[in-house]
Amino acid sequence: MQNDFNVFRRLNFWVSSSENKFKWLLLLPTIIVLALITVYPVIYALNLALSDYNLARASETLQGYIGLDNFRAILRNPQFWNSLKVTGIFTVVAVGVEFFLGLAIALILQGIVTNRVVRSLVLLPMIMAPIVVGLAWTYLYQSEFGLVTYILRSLHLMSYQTAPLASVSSALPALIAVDIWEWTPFLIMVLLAGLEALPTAPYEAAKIDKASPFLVFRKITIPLLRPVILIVLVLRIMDAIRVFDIVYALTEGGPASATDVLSMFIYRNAFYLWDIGKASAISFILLYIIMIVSVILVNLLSRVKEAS
Amino acid sequence: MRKSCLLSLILAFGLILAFNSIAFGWSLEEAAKPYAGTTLRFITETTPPSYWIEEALPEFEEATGIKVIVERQAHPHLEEKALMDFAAGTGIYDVFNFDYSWTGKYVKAGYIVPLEPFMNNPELADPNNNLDDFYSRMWEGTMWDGKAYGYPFDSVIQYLFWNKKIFDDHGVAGPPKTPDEWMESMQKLNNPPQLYGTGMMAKRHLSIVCEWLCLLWAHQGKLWDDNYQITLNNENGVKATEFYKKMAEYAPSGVTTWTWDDVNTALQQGRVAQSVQWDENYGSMEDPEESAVVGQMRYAPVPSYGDPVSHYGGSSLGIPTSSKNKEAAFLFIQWATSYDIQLRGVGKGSSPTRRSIYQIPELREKYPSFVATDAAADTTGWRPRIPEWDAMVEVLALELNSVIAGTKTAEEALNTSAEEIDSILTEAGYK
Repeated sequence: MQNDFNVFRRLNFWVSSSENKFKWLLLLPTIIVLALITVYPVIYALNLALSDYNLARASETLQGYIGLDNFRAILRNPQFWNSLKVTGIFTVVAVGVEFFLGLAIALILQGIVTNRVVRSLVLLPMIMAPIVVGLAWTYLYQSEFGLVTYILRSLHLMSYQTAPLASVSSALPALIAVDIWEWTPFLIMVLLAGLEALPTAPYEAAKIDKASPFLVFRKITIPLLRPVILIVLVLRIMDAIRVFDIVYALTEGGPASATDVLSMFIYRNAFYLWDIGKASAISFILLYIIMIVSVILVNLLSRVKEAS
Repeated sequence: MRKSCLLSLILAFGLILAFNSIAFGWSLEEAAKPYAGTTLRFITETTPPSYWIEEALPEFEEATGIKVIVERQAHPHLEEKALMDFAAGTGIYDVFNFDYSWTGKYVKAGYIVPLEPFMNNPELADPNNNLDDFYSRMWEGTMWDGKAYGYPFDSVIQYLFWNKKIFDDHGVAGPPKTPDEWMESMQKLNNPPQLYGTGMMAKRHLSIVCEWLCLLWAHQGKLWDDNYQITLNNENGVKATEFYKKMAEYAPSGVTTWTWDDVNTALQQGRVAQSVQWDENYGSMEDPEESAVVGQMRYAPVPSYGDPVSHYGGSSLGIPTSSKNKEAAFLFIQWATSYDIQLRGVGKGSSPTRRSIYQIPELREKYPSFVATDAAADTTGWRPRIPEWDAMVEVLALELNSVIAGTKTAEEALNTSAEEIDSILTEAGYK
């Protein structure tokens, strides 16, 4: 019997081991592809970030490995700190407004808009390529003939001496407005889906207890919706921190440094100055920022899930 | 008598044969035979001459059997694409349209080859191609350490475009000769939002640096002296920059986002009475399909306190070191910059680099810009050609744009620029 048991165990080991091997074999193509398209570029970029590498200079004039010099130079550059500030303002304001607007519209549309065509239309700005969005808004903000410029001037919200993208004070709000226009539908749709998936029992109980709509919203809707809210916020914040397309299409970081977000700063170093080493180093800083913010939000999300 | 007649006839016949063998011994068709079937990739800027070459290309392809793929890119993207290819040595591109201010950078990095080996090869070089016909400044722009790295392709000289009809209608005498007259004309012509006194290319971009350089030179300023001591922030530099800032009062509100493209549209639509602009756009002013100012535009040097001021911004066609089709590329460059192609493209986008074309009386009559370009071409001012210029453009573009956007005074912006440019020059070993 003991022998039989040992034989069974040995057999089981071999079966499970070969099963494991088979699992790994199945995973191998994905791992190889992921390594090629993710891990290798990251390692390569790290190597660049630690090197003196400039496309426009002869290879014999480059110093090769320079340790953290690129990072030191960036941290000493006031333009980097300005970019960080601009990116922060852009992210907080854009995502903040998108969230409140998205939630408000989702609450209004809940149970009203079920038509698929209408839902698809709401998604239209989000489906458009960001560079197309940027170009379209370039015309809307055009200083002479732009529709938005015309409306703002007609409403006396903007003088004839300035234009949305031409002034240091209005250029960043103008960019934020484009981002809100483009991404609020995403929040509407996700939050609407979240709202429609909420259990009905708590609401029925609240109805019996004659709870006010505001109390229902604060005590039932928001807590139940919190996981969905955190997921959309993580996605949007990560996206907003690395915004590039609309900034590039509309202002290229100007006027002065008013809209010089981090991605634009990276682009300028890489493709105006050809300093790939520094551009890679800034990209890593951006990556760390996104990672830290994401980790905080994901931790928050898991705590919320545990609590619920 | 008969003998001497016969001798004369034989001599004349011999001379004709000899002449024919020199003048007609070379043909593009014959020279291209070994390269028939080759495909060239030509990377160029989205400028009028590039469009003209694309239009004329079937002639070249038919004559040579060489296929040419033209890739047009906006100014910054042209370098982006080209540098990626050159640095990786992939050899995608065979012909490269490069700005003269890039010459040093590309030569020092070993990315483009000198043309002498091809120019001295009788099988490739057209003996009738008169290289002395290129304006000296434009030829000089292709040279580095005494070697030619390209043939001048696009003239591109920046000077004042002024709308004679608008000036006349408002009783303003033109063109302005001095900065004071210029400012006065802007004030008199400014009638927003229908008409503005001037256009400006004041975006945080190379365009603002180019335009400001004209102003700096007009005020007798310089970036640095012969010993690389910075002078851009001296009294003349400050005056020039304050003048530039003052211009913005008579320009459309959006000029902090404008480049040369926006200036061109505004000039074409008659929204601005005058502006500094590149001469290669002369054709677009006379195109009735897109211009509302046909026959109205005139051209003059940038008003100056000294000698006439203009700014050269031209480009040449060269061969990347990584190209695998250098001989065929040379034949294409020779054809694209030839007298015949440049002449036939006048009015269709061609921006000739050959003196003889600008001196044709009928063309001078039809295109007033030809007189201005011809007068400016040999002595026009130019920006530094050192490889570090890109970094300086970045500094100047930000600082000058800050002045127009109102976040810095002229003095503050120039002092910051001077400090940063000085450190770039010092780091690069110029001083």
